[in-house]
Amino acid sequence: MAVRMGLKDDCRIMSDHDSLAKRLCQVSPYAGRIEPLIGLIPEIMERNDQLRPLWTAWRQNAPPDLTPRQYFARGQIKVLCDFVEYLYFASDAFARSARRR
Amino acid sequence: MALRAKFCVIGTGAGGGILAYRLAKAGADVLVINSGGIPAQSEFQNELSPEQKGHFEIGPHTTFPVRPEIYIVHPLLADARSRSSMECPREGGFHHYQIHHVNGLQNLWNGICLRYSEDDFANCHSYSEDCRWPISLGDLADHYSEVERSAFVAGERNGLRQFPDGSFLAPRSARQIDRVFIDSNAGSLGPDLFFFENRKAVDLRPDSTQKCVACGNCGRGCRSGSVYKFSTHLLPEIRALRNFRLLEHTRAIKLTAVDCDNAEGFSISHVVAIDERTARIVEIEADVVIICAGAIESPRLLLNSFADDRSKAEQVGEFLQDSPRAVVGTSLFRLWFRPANEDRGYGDHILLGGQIKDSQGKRFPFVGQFWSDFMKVPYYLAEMPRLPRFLLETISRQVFKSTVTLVLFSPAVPQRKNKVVLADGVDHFGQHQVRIDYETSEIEADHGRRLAALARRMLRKASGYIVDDVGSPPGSGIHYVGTCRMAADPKGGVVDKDLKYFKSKNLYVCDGSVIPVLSEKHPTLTIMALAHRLAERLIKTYI
Repeated sequence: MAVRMGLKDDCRIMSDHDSLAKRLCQVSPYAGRIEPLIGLIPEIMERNDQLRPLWTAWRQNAPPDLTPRQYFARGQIKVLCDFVEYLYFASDAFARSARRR
Repeated sequence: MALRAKFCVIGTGAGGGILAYRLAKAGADVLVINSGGIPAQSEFQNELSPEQKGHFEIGPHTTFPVRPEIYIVHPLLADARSRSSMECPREGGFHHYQIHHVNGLQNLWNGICLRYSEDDFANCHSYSEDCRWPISLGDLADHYSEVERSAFVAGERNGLRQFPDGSFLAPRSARQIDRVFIDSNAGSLGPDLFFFENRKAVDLRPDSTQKCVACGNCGRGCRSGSVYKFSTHLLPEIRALRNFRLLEHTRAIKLTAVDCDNAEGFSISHVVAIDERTARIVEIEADVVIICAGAIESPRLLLNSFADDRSKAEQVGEFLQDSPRAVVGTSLFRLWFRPANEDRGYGDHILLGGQIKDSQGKRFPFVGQFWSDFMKVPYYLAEMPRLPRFLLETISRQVFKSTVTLVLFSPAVPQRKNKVVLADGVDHFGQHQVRIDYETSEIEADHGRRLAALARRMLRKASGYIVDDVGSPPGSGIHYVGTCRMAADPKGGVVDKDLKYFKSKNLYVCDGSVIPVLSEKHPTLTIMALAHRLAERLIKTYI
């Protein structure tokens, strides 16, 4: 029973994280292109020294009515934009399109 | 646990793999120990699916925008850092790459096989009187041939003095991207510069189950198993032999020495190892011990073993060398808006070699590899000006498929002060790590600048629009040699011309550490040939 509860809680947490990550990525125009990767973003940000503080702040403190552009400072927004842009250009979707054309 | 063997081989890299195979095939009782296990082929996913890599190579220290010097070459290297032989390097210090798996660094070897020349063995380009080859090309020629045949080295016979021919299979044909580079520069090559087909240990035989799939990413670990590795090429043949044992996840931590009564120095009675998974100690009694753990780990083992009696490890760790190199990348504009050529061949298909002048007008030899693959890390984004999104995408697509890199190597300058020494820090098995003192000499820095200028010139001729000098910190050549150098007599080195430790009667060293002078060429084939030669000697002497 305890295990079952744990799994349930994990699922809810992951789902919350996904929606938080999705809102965070709206900072970049490439957000739509990386939608299939949203589930990976919390883990990637957690393990990176530059991104971890941004993710922690967003996860713990961001009011639901604020967008990332309203919440973060200019320099932080640039880092987030570079990160999302990087994810798109490192993705298989981009590589396939580049090889076709 | 106590074990007994005739031969105990420590490590399975370029030297250890060949050595263990030859001894086992000759019927000798061989026990091989190796830190880490056999890497699964699934570790090497070369096709373009970064999702499979999990984190898009974003590591803890990656910064955005991503710079080329930050990205991790392969997850196996990242994994190894937590178990490194050396203390955390200081900023700008020597960067030691290490893989704790069977095959060692050869897991990511791209297969380039270049014989050392008569001039190399005659010390013609040596910058130190303390480091001299005690053998000639003639001593190794047959062993080079044997290794080339068993690793399926492909190449063309070119009759070049600087790059002696070997026993080759027919190479792949040049790619579109190679032709652009060669045709652009052919007219301006002087008599001292030449292109030639790459000589690589890549299986091209059409009927082979391991044949090359031309993904172009050899340097990241071959997923089809066509680039030579001990675990895929030799181990399957000897694994079932009753006289052969491989202990994975077992790390040698100490050699136990017993002084001999006569003038033969000491003998090694036991190798003390630790099982990395259970932390159990394994004691191995062997008649002959051969250390093949690489130019950093081998001296570390020796220095740890003889920490109480330094006279047994005199000169060990000195004269560490790594290939000075220049790395210059660009995108070739002539390939823009052409259909992408899907055949990436070997990735580095063409070699460039010859001699150029340094700032004093003195000639020095170099070798270069012209590399093109589909890049995994879009680090070029950092170089892009802020462009409208549609333009950024269009340009990125063209850069993605037309990016090339020229990597040029020059000879190392051996210096006694460049060395591996025991550090205060310990790893998580309690064994002392090492500190690496390393300074790039003025001569090497000058060579690096000349080579970078040459590379920039050649890439611009081939329509490189932005030429990016990637930079090459110490250690990034990953050609570590010299720390147990071979010599004609004990005053000049650590092992004799048969790779026997001068001060011991049953200890041998067989890896990059025995190479006394690092020429401009990649040392792997020479390490393999030395291992083949040592195996023949040991078979003759002990079996």
